[in-house]
Amino acid sequence: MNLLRIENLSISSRNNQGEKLSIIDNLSIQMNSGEILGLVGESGSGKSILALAIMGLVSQHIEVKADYFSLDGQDLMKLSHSQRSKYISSKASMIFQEPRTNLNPCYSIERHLDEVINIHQNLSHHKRKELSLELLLSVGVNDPEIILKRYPHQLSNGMCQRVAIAVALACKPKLLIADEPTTDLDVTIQSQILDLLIKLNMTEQLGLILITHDFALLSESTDKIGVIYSGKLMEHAESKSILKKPRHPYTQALIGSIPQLGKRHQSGSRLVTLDGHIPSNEQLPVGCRLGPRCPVATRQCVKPPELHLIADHGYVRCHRADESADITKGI
Amino acid sequence: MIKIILNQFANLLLSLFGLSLLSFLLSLLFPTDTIYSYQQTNLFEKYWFYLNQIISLEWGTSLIHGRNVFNDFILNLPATIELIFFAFAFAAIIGIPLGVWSAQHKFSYKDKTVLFGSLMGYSLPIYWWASILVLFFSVSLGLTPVAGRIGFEYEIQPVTGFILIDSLISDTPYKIDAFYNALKHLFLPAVVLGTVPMAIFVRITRSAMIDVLSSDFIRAAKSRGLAHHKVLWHHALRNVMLPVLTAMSIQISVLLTGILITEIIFSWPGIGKWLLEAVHRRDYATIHGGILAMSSLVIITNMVIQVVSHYFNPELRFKR
Repeated sequence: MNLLRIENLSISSRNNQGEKLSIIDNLSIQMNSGEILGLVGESGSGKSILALAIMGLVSQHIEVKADYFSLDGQDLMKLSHSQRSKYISSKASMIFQEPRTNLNPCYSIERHLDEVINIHQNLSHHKRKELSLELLLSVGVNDPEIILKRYPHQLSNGMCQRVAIAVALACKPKLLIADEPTTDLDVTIQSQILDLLIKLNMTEQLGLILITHDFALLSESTDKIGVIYSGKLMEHAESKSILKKPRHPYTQALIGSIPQLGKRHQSGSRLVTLDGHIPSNEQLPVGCRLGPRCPVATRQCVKPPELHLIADHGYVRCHRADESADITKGI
Repeated sequence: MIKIILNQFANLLLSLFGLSLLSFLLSLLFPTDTIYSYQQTNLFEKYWFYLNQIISLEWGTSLIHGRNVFNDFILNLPATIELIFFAFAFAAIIGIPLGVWSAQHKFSYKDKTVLFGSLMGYSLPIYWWASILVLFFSVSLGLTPVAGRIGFEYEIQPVTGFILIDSLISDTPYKIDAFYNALKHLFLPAVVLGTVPMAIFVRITRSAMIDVLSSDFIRAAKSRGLAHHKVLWHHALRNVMLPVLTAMSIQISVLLTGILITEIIFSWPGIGKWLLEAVHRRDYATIHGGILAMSSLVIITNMVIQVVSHYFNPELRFKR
């Protein structure tokens, strides 16, 4: 069964002149329960707003449209506003980039956990505390009794992120959205947090959306990867085939930009970079959004490409996907 | 918590010591001796005697009517505290929710109206605002009395000095009427005195609220399914209270000075009126005692707010 299915999601805002600016354009994505979906793209590509849209947290000035939007089998568009936010909060939760900003600085960890458990499960005070301790243990906090009494400013970044995950799990979600969960952490803590998320995915059958700009983070752990550029889904396929043979020039560039260490490093080789910047949503290029930056662009790229289904791979939005042009060889 | 209070108390003693030094130096400038006398020859002896007198609450006698200055101060204090309390309550109860409401509708016409109103309130001269309110409420509508603490037809025995409490605990048959009458008398001065702090609370609450509402932990709280009012009035307001408390501690000192004008306008028998009359009569002993008392009040209330803000801010309570 599909845990999450979104068809043709469009998100747009208006600038001061009242013109419509597209942030996400006709994006369709689906994932099954218990899967890990990686969403990759550079800053400003619309990954975070996609996560907020799934959680229903987009501010009121931003317009969100979709043809179909379901979470755990329930069509969200049939629910009223208050029903929807209640339903989403019981099925999905989210952790944000900076660990410290996940938690209210004025509340103790116990209060955070207690509050959420109180909303979603009807338990006595004593049971709630027991459950809080269990949750903290399950995210790898060794001394939950002490941590429970602490305030966010007394914890390290890594510990804050663990607690944030525990608070997110207190809703008993089926989907956990992690928006760059490891960006602010140092490398050893990064791998610990990532291992924790993957372990939770295995043990609790928790669907996981990992949003990142770092392909290296996704490599082995994810089932599927979606590559987003400038609000459009560029490539969406099994992570094995994307990592083995990326079809879209943008995906190729992203993978090419991962530094290779040790034996894999060829001396004198440079990292692949694309010239230019991601286009601002006030000045989108004609045709393919990657067009002006794409090293293998041809004349046909002035027409906007569709998502092609490629056999044994997945969806790719490129005119030249079949030819399997490889930019890393071209440079 | 006890450690914090003790710590603040030590701070308080230090500030009061500094204050006594300053007020002693000031009293040297007075043309007459207020507390010390010619018996002490050098400055240190004079100060030592002065300090002893201050601590044993012998603040000298008024040069005009010969009463003990400290007793006079205690007699006038309850009226002022009553007025400040209600002015402050008015400012906080109207100002903080208005700021929250304004932040929720930020940049809309509602927000702009509130901001414009608070700018007006902030820049109003108190005496002008007082006379406008008196003209409207007392002269045109006849709803409130013009001056004083209670109507002359009621006779209330002072027990605590707070007229609202005294009228309720008195055993006169008209005690409820007297209470309402005192409340009516309190209304205009409290509104006049509370207008400027209210405008400031609105602005500070609004800007802090806009800041807090856009932070991630508010989004995270919403994503966990917390009801909107809980997110706003618990999670957000708790964080907003920190800057508001700082503003409050500044506003208390402003109120204590603002009270001079308000008490004169409404002939409110409090410290402000007492002190200003002493100034007119060159009653140096009273001036000295009044200044000492007012400054001590400012220091003490600031310390109390410090302790309260320790309660609100866990980062102060628990060091890393």
